[in-house]
Amino acid sequence: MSKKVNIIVTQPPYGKEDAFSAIPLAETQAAAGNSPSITFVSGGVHSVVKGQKTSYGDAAVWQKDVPSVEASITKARDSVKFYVLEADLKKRGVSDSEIIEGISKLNIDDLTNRILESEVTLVF
Amino acid sequence: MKITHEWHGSKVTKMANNGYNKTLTIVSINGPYRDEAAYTLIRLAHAAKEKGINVNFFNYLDGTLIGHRDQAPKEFPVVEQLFGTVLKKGLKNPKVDAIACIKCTDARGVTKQQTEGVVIGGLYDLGEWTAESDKTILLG
Repeated sequence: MSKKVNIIVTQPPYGKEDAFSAIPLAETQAAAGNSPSITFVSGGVHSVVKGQKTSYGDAAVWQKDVPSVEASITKARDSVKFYVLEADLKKRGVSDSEIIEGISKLNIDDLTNRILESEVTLVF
Repeated sequence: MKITHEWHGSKVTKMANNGYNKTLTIVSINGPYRDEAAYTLIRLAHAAKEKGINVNFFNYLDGTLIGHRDQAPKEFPVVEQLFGTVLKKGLKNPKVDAIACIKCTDARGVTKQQTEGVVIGGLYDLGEWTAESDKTILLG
């Protein structure tokens, strides 16, 4: 049975693997016939900031760049709906112009409704 | 009803309704010992099984270390053995199945070190389990 899968990411990108790993999890939920969404809250809101640069430096030393969460979001947008909690953006001084296009802002009532409407909520 | 399919040469038997009414899928992302999450999910699985509930473990990220063989902590219960015991007790109904994410096990070099009963699979298996299960939770 197809399910609404509501994924909430509380952790910021790069400090932990959680934000990056939530995205392929959501994409495969869509491939399996479910309806996934990801909502970034708390420190997780930094995942939706535009212009992420993920290189540590010389590729000869560092082998490859760390995968970009911004690129993963952009790639997954056709199959996964992305949201961000507006109050948590404001708290961290992230302005609308700094956000990746196509990310919808939610307030806490919206997020509560999304949790109530979903059959599954997974929190990273 | 059991549904069996091949994944990277291994047989994966998923638990569609096998006579028991409920199925719980537990996604774990934390490794053993640094925090109590592994003990919590194992206790949860024991309790669910006692209630006649089928359990699916999907081990993701550092959660793939839960089933790593040859753990030998000096001062804590051995997570691998506790986990393996739940899997062995889950050979019959209600069933307990476990899949470890192959990208995560490969990244950590533990694909061939998984304890008996853990099948190497992928995120698509979790998508299917999510669709089939009554409840899916993530313990982080």
